[in-house]
Amino acid sequence: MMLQINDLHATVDGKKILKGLTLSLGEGEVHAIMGPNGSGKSTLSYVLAGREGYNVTSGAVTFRGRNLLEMLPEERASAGMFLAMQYPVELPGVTTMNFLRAALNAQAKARGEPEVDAVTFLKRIKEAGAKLSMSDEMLKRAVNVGFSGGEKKRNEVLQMAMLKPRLAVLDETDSGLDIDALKVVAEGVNAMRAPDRSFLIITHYQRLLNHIVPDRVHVLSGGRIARSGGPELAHELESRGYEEKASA
Amino acid sequence: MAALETTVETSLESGLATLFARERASLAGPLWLAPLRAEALSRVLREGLPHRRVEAWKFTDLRNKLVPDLDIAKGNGATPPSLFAGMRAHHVGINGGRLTNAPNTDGLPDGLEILSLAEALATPSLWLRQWLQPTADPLENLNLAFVADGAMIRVGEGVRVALPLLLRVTQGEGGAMAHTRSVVSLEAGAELTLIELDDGNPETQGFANTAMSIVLEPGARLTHLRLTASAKPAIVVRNDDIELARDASYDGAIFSSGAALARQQMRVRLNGAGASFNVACAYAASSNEHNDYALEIVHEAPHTTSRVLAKGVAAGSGHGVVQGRVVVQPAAQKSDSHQLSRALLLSAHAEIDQKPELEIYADDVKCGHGAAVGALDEDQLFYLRTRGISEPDARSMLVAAFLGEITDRVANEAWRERVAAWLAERMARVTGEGA
Repeated sequence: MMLQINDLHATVDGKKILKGLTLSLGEGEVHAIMGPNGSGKSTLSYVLAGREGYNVTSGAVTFRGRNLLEMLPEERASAGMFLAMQYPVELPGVTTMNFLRAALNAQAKARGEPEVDAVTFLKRIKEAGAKLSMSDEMLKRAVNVGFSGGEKKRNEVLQMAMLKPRLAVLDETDSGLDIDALKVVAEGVNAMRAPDRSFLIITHYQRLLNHIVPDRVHVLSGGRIARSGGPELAHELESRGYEEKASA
Repeated sequence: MAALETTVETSLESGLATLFARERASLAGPLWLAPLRAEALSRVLREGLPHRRVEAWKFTDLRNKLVPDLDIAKGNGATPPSLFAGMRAHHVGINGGRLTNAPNTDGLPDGLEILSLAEALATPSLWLRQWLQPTADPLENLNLAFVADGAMIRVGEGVRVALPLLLRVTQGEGGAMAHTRSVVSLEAGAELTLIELDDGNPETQGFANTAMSIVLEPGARLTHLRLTASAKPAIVVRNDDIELARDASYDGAIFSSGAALARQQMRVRLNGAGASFNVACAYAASSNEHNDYALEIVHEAPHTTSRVLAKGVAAGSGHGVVQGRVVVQPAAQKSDSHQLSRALLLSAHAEIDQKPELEIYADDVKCGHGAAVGALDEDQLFYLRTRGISEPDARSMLVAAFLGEITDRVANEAWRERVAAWLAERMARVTGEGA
């Protein structure tokens, strides 16, 4: 099992957001979590990544056999967790190149693996960048500074491609993307699908799921999974909306 | 000879008086210098060493930091490996107050002259008088009283020196004061890159009080890089007097981290129309470190420009100070001045003081200033950590990025990389004791 969430309750600023969320994600599976605004989608992604201020009050999360909730954000990353953020942060003065190299080496060190040498790194990042239509010049710029919304999301996918996580959580990676950018991002994700890699795709809309076909679709409502089904559930939600399904 | 008139307030001043009485006969220089030294010292003793009741030293208590009974450095301190080892430059070394390494004339390009102040003083050398006068500044006066040596650097008219000139001031001796005085003079249209490294690692307190006069004649251009990289418990005071004539330009990047107390006093006078002064200062203060920049920029002539960007970080019990005073004289119409000071406060015990001042006596000028203090951005920290970078490393990266704006001012890539590497090492120490 990649990720097992049992009866998870979490609060933000004292407000109960997750109220008994249970979810099983197997190795190599792609699950989508859909839900209206305020249903707890982003809270779930931040709880999984270990953000301060997102307090788990009860429940358990097991990631690859380990108690995820006891791990620091950087330990989660080194254990194979990746969060593609809904609002990627700008890092003035830190180039994407240096940032990714530091991240790769930090993870390698934590896992007791050798660091990536400069030549191999350069080759890898240029290849990964090219697949996402990111120029060398962009890679040399400060992380996300002056990037458009679409460029920021592509940068998230680039980081995912370089860090090769075991579990990627994509938090509304489709928001703010035009159709071409959406396709680029989806291709990036699809290229990474593998038997030992799982994805949790959090989205408001079904359109990303036209390009990344999930194994399972869950509807998040009121802080818990209200309904689960196959890929067809996403289409159903798209045509009928959340209101009806949430109460079903 | 008349006894020195003193109103000594602490054992420090009485120690200086005793030391001067003992050493005055052996201090270098021609006859005319002796009374100037005595006058300079009597000014120090009359006013006392600077402390916080003196407005210009409001945030920095030198008197309390100095240990009494400091001796005069004899120029025989150990010299640690240089941060800039192997870099291509004309190397000049000052150790323990003595010029220990100057390239011989054969090795220098035409138009660049470097002379030892001590050697120059051994000749009649009346021309040196202009550089050896008491002033209103107690540290400059203390320097004049005891100064032994320094580098007299001159670049001839229209000469562009290709290689940088590296002036390294090491403080190898514990328990000693080193007072050096250098002059950098660029004749009309001359160009020079001056790189300075203040370092050394005395085990007991050393006090380096360095004075430098920079004179830029019409159209001269100086590019200046300085690293004040001394280690605790060193006390470093830099006194810079910078004069710019018509269309002269000064472009500087100054870094300071590591000393128990570092104070850089820059007095700038824009004397000719079109003169431009542009400095970027960085500091990183960890526990028991005090970094102070005190700038005074006087626009004397019309169409003069000044820019100050200061960025600093204070962690643990570190203390950072930036004081910038800009004066625009009545004749300096159409002057343009801007100063910006930004600081990161990494702990509740650290302290940052920023004090910009403007005095404007002309009516058609553009002057601005800004100051801000903040903490590291939590969103940025979290973002780095979700990629596997540990919290201390993430802090170091963000702080280094914050100061990177100053590092980027170092145009030459090879030198910039050395500075960045040194700064990264300092950052690891500074952020390690963050919150």
